[in-house]
Amino acid sequence: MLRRLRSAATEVLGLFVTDWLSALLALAILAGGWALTRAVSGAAPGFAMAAALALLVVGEAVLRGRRLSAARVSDPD
Amino acid sequence: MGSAGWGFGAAFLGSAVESVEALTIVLAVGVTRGWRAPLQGTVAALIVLAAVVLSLGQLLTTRVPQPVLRAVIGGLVLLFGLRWLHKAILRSAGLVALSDENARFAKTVQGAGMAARLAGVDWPGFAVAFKGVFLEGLEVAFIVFAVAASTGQLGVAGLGGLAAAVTVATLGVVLRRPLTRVPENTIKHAVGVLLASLGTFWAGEGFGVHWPLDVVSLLVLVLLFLGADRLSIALLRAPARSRAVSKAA
Repeated sequence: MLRRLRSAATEVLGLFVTDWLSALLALAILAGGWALTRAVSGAAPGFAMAAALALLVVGEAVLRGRRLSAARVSDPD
Repeated sequence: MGSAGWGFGAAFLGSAVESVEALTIVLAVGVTRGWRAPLQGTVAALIVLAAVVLSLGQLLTTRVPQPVLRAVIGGLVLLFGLRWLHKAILRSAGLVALSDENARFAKTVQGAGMAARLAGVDWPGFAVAFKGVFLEGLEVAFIVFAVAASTGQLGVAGLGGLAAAVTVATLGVVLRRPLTRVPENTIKHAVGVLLASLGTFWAGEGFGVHWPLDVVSLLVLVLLFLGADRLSIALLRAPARSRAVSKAA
């Protein structure tokens, strides 16, 4: 029963998270955005948060992509 | 168009992809085991799903303060969107195999067939369809609730999700085979960009960000994430292209 519950929880969690590091980085950016709204009013914290998240998308994809490419080059089969 | 249009579009696109996946599973089980068990599994999953969604949805919308709800749901939608975007980018760059409904169909058929032989009862077909419809349905419900939590238009979001499910189910009945013609990865790019933008927008609202001109700000976020999406693909394709050129030389 416990194993099934754990498996179900893992499946539901998998809807949101596949890579813990990138998920934690995204949450850290959100936390930074929240902290910024305490100090600065208006839309600036929101756009700063969005820009950081967009950079995260690019950085994460490029790093992962290069790792995958490197793995392919070293093992062409 | 306004926020209602955005809400409908996001709910429709997100729900359509999930509905295609659920339909593929049900069709695969139906083809191998007959239609009774998977249809029963589908109905049971929809009933359980409705109970979960109604009870949790009611609890969330009445007990949790609106800013907290927006921040939490925005964060979850963002994670959801980033996950889709990441996968779609790697697929477009040719680094990960494209999602293949035919392969998923064949795998489900093989799994259901083997389980049937081992068990000798109709439960495997029921269970596979139940699990598929429930999990994919949970994603649809999440998308619909997330859209509704921000726009305050549960009707519009629900309509988007429902329209997607009905459209996909109708296509499934008409085509009677996996919907291979639906360009899933293109839809995943669009949904990933939309969900990441909406998630950032809602989380920001929950934190107290005052977005100027509501929908215009959302459009800026969409362009930002779309730019990140295109830039990532270009950066990932460039080394592969230069390797091909140097190999040819």
